[in-house]
Amino acid sequence: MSERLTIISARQWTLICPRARTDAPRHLIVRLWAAAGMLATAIIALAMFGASPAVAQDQAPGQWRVAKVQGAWTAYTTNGSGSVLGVSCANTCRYYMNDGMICDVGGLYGVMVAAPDPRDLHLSCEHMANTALLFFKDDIGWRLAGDYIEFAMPIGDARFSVFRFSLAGAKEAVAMAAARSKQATASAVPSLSGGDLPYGKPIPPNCNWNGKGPTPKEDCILN
Amino acid sequence: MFRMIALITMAAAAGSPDSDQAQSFGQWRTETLQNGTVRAYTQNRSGSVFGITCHQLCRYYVDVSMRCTDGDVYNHPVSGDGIGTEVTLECRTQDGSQIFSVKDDSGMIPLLKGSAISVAFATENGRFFFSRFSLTGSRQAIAWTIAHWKQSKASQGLQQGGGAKSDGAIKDIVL
Repeated sequence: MSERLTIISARQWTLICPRARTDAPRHLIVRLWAAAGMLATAIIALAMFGASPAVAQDQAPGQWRVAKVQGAWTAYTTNGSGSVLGVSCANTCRYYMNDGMICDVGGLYGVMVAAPDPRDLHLSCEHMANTALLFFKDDIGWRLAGDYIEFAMPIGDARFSVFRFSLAGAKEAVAMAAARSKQATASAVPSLSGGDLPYGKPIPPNCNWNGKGPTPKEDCILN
Repeated sequence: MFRMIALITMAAAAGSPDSDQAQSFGQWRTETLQNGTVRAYTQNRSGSVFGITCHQLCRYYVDVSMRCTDGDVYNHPVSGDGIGTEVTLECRTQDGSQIFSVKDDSGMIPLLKGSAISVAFATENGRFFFSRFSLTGSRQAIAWTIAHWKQSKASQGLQQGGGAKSDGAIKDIVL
């Protein structure tokens, strides 16, 4: 699935958020892209955890994993659709999500987290190493209880995407990443390098996006 | 906390419509109730209702047959044509039926320019359900509703010795 996310356009954010347009997906191409995305993710994972000397991985209980990437600790899980939910701990810990969708850098997005305690959460888009990441503006550690966490995100065309992630082992994995990050000395924790982190699906290769300004929709939407 | 309950339609809750004033615009219907309320609404296949009701003020509302705590305010993501936003909904009990009233009408304006909207609701079991509503005919229906409501207000004002008064809520809902 590769679609352009729709920026939340609440009035208080209009000034700082460019509005994205949403096109109807071309389902066949999207499916093909989804398959390509999975393959790319697998290749990246192999490169990250199999070959890169800068990456070390600890086993964590459940469906979560902890990886050390160039001194930064990341706990993450990947669901059956290839979407990733994780937390990256350098100086601070930041939760992120990636479903291979296109988002505009600096754009503000919204999701609703399901019960218990349903509420709306806000995310900001950052592009790192050819991946479009949505970083949660708030700490969602309070919500890592239970078996699953589920998010609903408006994607335009009166539709939503729903993301469901296992929380089995989440608390332990997040605690491990945070604790090990704190153990590291400041000099040993470099700034994050997105290419080395388990960030999930990459941006479609024909985006020709240079990291500045609005993403070229026509290319990225896979017309 | 939400709980699913049986559907109680706005029509049943708010009084009998005046059939002379009932009209249809695409997937939307307008009517004037005996208590003077003028409203426009659409009902989807699941029986959920989205519309605007005008009495003292005009307010958009959603009736998805969920139980809520009166007065509680929730932010809900809404998906429209090429736009995503969140709207603030307030749980209100109206004639025995609980509905979600949109607190900030201006947030609805961009959404209403499309052909459909969906609202996400979280259920007790940790899942979501989505109510999708057609907007075909909504512009005409809402315009009709506002016009008739203003007309009604004006006539009431004349009866009370004054003219129709400007109401800030009107500006917010005109498309």
